[in-house]
Amino acid sequence: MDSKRYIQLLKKFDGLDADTEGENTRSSVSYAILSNSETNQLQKCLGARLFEQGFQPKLIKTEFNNFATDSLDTEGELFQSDLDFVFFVLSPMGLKETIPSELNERSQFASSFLSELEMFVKNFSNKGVKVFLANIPETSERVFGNMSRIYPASFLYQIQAINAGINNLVAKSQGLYLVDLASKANYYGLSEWHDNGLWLQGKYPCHPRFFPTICDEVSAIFSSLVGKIQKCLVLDLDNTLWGGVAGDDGIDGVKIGDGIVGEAHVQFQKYVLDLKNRGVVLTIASKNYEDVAIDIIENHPRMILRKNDFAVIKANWEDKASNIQEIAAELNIGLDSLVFLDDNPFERGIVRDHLPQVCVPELPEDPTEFVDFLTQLNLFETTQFSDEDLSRSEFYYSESERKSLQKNAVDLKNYLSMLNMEACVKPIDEKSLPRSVQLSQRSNQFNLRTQRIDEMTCEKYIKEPDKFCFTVDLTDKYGALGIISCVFMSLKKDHLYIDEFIMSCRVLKRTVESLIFNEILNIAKENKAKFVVGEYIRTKKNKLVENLYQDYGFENTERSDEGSLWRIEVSGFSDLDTSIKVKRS
Amino acid sequence: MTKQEVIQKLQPIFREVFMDESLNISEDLTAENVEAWDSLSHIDMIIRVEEEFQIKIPTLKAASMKNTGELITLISESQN
Repeated sequence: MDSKRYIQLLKKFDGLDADTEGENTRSSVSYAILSNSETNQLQKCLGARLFEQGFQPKLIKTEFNNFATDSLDTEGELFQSDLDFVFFVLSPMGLKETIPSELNERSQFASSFLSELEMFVKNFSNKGVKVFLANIPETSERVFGNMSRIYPASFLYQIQAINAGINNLVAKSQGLYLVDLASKANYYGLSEWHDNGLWLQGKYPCHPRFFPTICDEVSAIFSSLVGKIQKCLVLDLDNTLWGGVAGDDGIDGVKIGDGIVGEAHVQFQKYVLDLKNRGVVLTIASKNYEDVAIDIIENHPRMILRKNDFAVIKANWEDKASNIQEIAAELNIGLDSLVFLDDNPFERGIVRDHLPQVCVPELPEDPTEFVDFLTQLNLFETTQFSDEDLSRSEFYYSESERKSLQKNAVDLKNYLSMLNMEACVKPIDEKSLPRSVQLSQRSNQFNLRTQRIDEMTCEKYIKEPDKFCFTVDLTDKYGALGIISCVFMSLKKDHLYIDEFIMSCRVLKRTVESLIFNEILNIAKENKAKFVVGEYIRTKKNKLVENLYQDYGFENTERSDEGSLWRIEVSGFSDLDTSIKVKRS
Repeated sequence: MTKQEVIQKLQPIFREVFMDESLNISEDLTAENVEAWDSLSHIDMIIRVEEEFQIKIPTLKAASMKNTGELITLISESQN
């Protein structure tokens, strides 16, 4: 890696004021970097990177090595600036300058540093500022030789202890996110990452050609926090999932296993299967005869991925852009959550041209490089894992079965009753909290106010007496769909106000909405509210629910370009019909 | 490599790093004459030069250069 991209980002940042590309659609992000090293250039690179990701960055500048004072001065500029996130990045070189030289004083270094660090970061997270905390790349210094990792007085031992402490701190705290720089530094090599000359000359935390990499990680985490998440992989078949061309080589000729090319594709398939098991949805868009493609997928002895692993298979001779659009429509997900992998530059070009929202990586020609290439792209960053993630692919697969049933079922009501749906409705608790937060972060279409409720806010709805929340957990004859909706409400004077109403688009048109309105009105009634008030705040993506309140009998009280306000009288409301059996607990 | 050849390859780097498309390199050019040439962009420039000419400029030399002429001489000698 050279520093061309680093220089480009610097240049981009300095031109940002004049760059009005998409200025109306960008959401602004205010950020700061705190460090024990010189981060002036890193701060600029991060701004440029956030801009590339579609945000309007606002940098709150910090100076060299002020991370302690800046974190403690809660009256200072940082705390007055309405920061979205602060990025703590600490250089091991800087830490080393503060470690005592007496060996017997060193064993406490990590723990005392960690308790200070915890205090610093909590000052931000307690105020609702997200904290991105980088772990510390190791140094190659080994005064104690091979004993360094196990001898507490060694600096390397103390770095290990600090990193373990950082992991614990992030795992147990809300609003903290780990930036795994240690892994990045290992990947590129510590002797490349650290540059002692640059440390002494300019107090650079690492060689600046790695600044873009650092910024990639940070902006990926931030994007996933605000719901910009890629969750579906669209795969080509010939020379992507296997070597060779199905139509020419046939099931006996395509390369899967056996030989370098075949083994490389097996390795790649295993990696893709790991992604699927993690919750990434797999689909196929391939120019092939469907029966030929399916025959290989189902019957080739060395295939790792089988038909059941794919939620949608489009093997036909239509253009790929149309097929990809259909995949997105069938799965009810946005084009910007798709990643398209194809060995053919022509197909990649067409998709890029027609569907610029789809992420289209420049897959290397050599299949032995596939896995490493995709690993480093870090396409599927997430800040939360939940059980629903792990079973999502299964859901989407059965979704295509559900759709085929839908085709056969003449009328919708009949179809819905055949689904044997059951819903469990209950207030959010510790168990459903991660999924609720995740829904709020990820849902863009069925999201009435797009408030992006985080863990801390969610806790308030659980605890405070005038706040209410519930989740809907749906199952049908094909299996569990998991938690597919959550609603947040506050009691205000004479009315119950719907602070947030989110539903997964996978369950549209199944009368879940009716069930939810019944539930909301019930809560209003029990708490003696006269009205229920709902608001629609317009975003680029939630046109779907523009008329939701109207469709369910609310009357309009206010309307503007930004959205609309609606209310319904509690006393006049009678329960809406649903095809879902409700269990309350 | 002659000094003239070095200057030819150096010019686009200077223009990019110091963000001045009209910048012209001469041997007596110093940080004083270039608005964006500060201690940080100096490091950026050295890094790009190292990559472009496939050389390692010793930290001490990089930090103590008095003018662009010194850099040109250093590069020119390294490329022989």
